[in-house]
Amino acid sequence: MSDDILTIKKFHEGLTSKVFSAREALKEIYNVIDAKDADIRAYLSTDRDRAQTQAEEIDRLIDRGEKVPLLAGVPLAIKDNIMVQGEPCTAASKILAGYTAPYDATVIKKLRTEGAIFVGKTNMDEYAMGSSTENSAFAITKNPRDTTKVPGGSSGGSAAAVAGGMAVAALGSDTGGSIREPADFCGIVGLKPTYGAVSRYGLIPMASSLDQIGPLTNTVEDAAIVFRAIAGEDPYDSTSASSTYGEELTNPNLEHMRAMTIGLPKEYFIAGIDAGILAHVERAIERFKSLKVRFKEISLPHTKYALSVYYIVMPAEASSNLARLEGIRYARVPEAANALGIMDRYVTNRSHGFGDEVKRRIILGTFVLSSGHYDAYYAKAQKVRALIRRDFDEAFKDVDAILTPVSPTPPFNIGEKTKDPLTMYLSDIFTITANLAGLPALAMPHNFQLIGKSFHEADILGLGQYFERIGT
Amino acid sequence: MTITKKLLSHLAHLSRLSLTEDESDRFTHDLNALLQHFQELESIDVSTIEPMIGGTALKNTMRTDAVRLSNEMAVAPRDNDITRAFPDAHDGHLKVPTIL
Repeated sequence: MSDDILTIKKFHEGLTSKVFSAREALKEIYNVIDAKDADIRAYLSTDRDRAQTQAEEIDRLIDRGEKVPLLAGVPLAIKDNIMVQGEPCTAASKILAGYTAPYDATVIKKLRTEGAIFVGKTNMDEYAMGSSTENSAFAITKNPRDTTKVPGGSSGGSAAAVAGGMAVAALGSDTGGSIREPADFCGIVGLKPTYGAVSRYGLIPMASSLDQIGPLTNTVEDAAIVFRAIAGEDPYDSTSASSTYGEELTNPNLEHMRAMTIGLPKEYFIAGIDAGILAHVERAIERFKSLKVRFKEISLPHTKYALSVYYIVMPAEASSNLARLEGIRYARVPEAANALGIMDRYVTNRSHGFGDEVKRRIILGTFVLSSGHYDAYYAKAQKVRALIRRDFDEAFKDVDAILTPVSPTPPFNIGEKTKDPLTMYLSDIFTITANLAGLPALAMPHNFQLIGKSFHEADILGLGQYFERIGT
Repeated sequence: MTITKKLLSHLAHLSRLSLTEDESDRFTHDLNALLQHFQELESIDVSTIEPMIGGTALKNTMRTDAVRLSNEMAVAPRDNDITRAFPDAHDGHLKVPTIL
């Protein structure tokens, strides 16, 4: 695998100066997939003919001497819960096996305009429910850095594709850490944008007040490039915001970064964090200090309630979103072929179509929303969620960004946590607060994340880019 | 609050799911462990707190309320990507299995 095509900037330079063509680069990506992916299982599907056609178009433009966008010809991997018109879209669930996306998600439409090439759809935990990509109905993805370990989840296929050289960058979705934890486990960069910054039109929803689409990339600069391409208001997503982003994302001002103060919340530096991770985070803090960035200890007192709030709000919304999968309008499982009557059809499709974790969350969500329990659980959780958000609002009066570990543990062994879902849930403990508060968060390859103010992606991406430039 | 087998079976019915004996055992155990964890929320005084309902406090982005052909429907209904995505179709319409 040529290093020239591993970052977007280098790819663009190589492509436009004709060191390689878009077709050659794509061929190289598919060669890596052929060599590795039978073992890694990052992809659920690829469409080589279509990708080839896209690459030929880009090469024609370059041959004609036309100026092409930064993302032109760049091979991207797309999580299988994001619709690419004409391609399978299953959310790694048996209940959507065989479903073909009828239209492009807004993020795909935007990337298509930029000339990006879609290599294939990546594996994930079914319906984005999980932290290891072991909950997929179709395959278990392995971590390309150590194939005995999980790649993290739920965007584990996207992370493994980028870390394994099987794509230059990828899209994932993050509801409670599903971009950042796999990025962390695979040693790459992952950005969960501010709630509303990126349109979710064409994303198969899990928990609608938490879900965001974002990039997984080899560098922070690449994350900034992809984010800039996909961000913006969309009339097809009522929750998308009219924020404007520009040059500051990809071309940060050093003096501005130096004037920043980063908060270190004491609630995130607790007993039980892996010693190696803590050492990486501490080294990262020292590196930031060498940039003259200041640090300040802060407190986010309601952090300890975040896991409870998350595991009430998320299943509630998921149980509601997943009610549409009834085996009538979408794919039908073979077991339901002889179902008798509508109730039998619903129940058979759903019972055979959904995996263990999805059923668990649907039932939990149904419980917290049910009459008699709604106030004690769902209504209460929404109020505590407001307190979690308020903690961040208070903290951001004193600091510009917040630094915490991404995961309390390094990548665990495949099969290690599948028997105990509650232990698996703890993997999300440091990532879910950014979703609950709707804030942007950037996971960096040294086990830490930077949480920013709403719509201030430029702050965390800027800090990240300077961190990258000073090297180890 | 404890989830009994009986309550679980009711929740499964509401969820349009049928659980195996093994699933019932495991889910009863897992859900009760979670509810026990959720007890920590009981002690927080939220009497003056407004709930955070969505993920944002910003106002909704809306489309103009005007009649138009959307997406692929601009193409004839018999031959477009939306009808092609149906699990079964007849003349461009979703063919529904016998339900009665």
